[in-house]
Amino acid sequence: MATREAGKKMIMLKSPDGMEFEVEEAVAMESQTIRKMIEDDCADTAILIPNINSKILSRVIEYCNKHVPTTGATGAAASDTVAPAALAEDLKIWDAEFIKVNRATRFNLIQAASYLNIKGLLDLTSQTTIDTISDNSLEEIRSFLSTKNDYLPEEEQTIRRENQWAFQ
Amino acid sequence: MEEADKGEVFERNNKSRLDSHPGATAGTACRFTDDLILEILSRIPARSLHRFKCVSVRWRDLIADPANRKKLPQTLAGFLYTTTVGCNRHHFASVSCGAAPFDPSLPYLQPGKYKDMAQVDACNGLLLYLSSSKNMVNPWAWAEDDFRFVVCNPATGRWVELPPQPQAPADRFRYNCMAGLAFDPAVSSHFHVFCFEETTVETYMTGVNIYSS
Repeated sequence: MATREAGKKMIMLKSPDGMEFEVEEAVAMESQTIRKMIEDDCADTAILIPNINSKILSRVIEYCNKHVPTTGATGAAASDTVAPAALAEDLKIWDAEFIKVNRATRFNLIQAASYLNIKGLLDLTSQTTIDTISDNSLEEIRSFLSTKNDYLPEEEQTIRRENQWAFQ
Repeated sequence: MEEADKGEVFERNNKSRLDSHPGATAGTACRFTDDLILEILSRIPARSLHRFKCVSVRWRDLIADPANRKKLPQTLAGFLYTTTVGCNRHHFASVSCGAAPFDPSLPYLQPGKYKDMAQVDACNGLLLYLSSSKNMVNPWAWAEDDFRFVVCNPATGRWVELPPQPQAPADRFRYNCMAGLAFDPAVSSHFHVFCFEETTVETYMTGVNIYSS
C-alpha cells in the first residue's frame, strides 16, 4: 500500500521470499525500473521484485537510502551544511565499505542493480569486479566468474597468438 | 548437421555457436546474461579486453560481435602526427598523460628499411604508410624513387609491404596520392587498401586500384 508517513510518500517493495520493505518513494525511485512503474501508475499496491531475495533487496535499499539526493522539496538538505566535495568523498568511503561483500553477494548485487536499473550501484559492483580480475591470469578469471574454458586446444592456441600483444 | 554448420557462419547471435560447441555446458555459462557480462567488460581497459577474448568462446564472441562495439572501451590514448623537416618524423601526442602505446617512429621500418614514410590513413588499429626508398644518386629526382604502400600493426610490430601498383601513378601524384585503408577486425582479419588514380590534366579520378590482403 502506498501510504503517507511524516509527509513522505511510501512505497512497499516485496521480495519473492515474502519479505516486505516500506521505503520512501524518492528512495525507491533511485531504481529507474521502479521509477517507471510509479510514473506509469503501476505502483498502487506493493511492488513485487522478482528474482531478488530479501537479503540482497535489503542491501539494495540500503544503497539507495544512502544515495538518494538529499536536496528536495521536503526535509532538510544535508548539502546546505556540508560541502558537496566532502559529501562525495563521504559517499565514496561509504561505497567502499558497502561493497566489501563475498563474491556471491556481489554477483547478486550486479544482477539486482541491472534488473532494477540503478546506475550507481551497477557502476560500483561492476567496477569492483573488474578491479579484482583485470590483472589476474585467465585461469583465475575463469574460476572467479565460474566460466569454463570451452576452447578446443588448437583454437585456444590461435586466439592466444592473435592477441599475444595484450598479454605483454 | 552439415547444413546447420554452414549456417553458423552467417549467424550473428552467438548462442547457436555456443550450444554446438563441445565444451559448453549450460550450468557454468548461464550464471550471467550476455548483457551483464558486457556491462562488466565495458569497464575494463582495451588491452585487458583483448586478453579476455581468450577466457572462453562465449566471451570471445561477445567481445568480437560488431553489435557490441559501442558498449566496449575504445579509449582515446592520443594522436599520431607527422612533422616534416627534410623527411617525415612521426610523433605521438598523448591525451591521457600516458606513454605512447608503441614507438611512433616505427624503428623496425625506418630508417633501416625505408628512407621516408608518410602516414596516409589509419583504420581500427592498422596504419597505412606511403614509403619510399630514395634514389641516393639523385635524391631530388622523385620519379626515380620506389614508392610502396606499407600496412603495419603498431601494437604487434607486424607489417607488410604491398606489391607495386599495376600502373605507376603520374609523377606529381606520387607524394600526394589519394588512398585509404579499410579494416574491421570484428568482420575479418583481412584489410583492403584503395588507391585512386588521377589524371595530370584535370583533377579527375580515372580509376581505383584495390589491394585486398
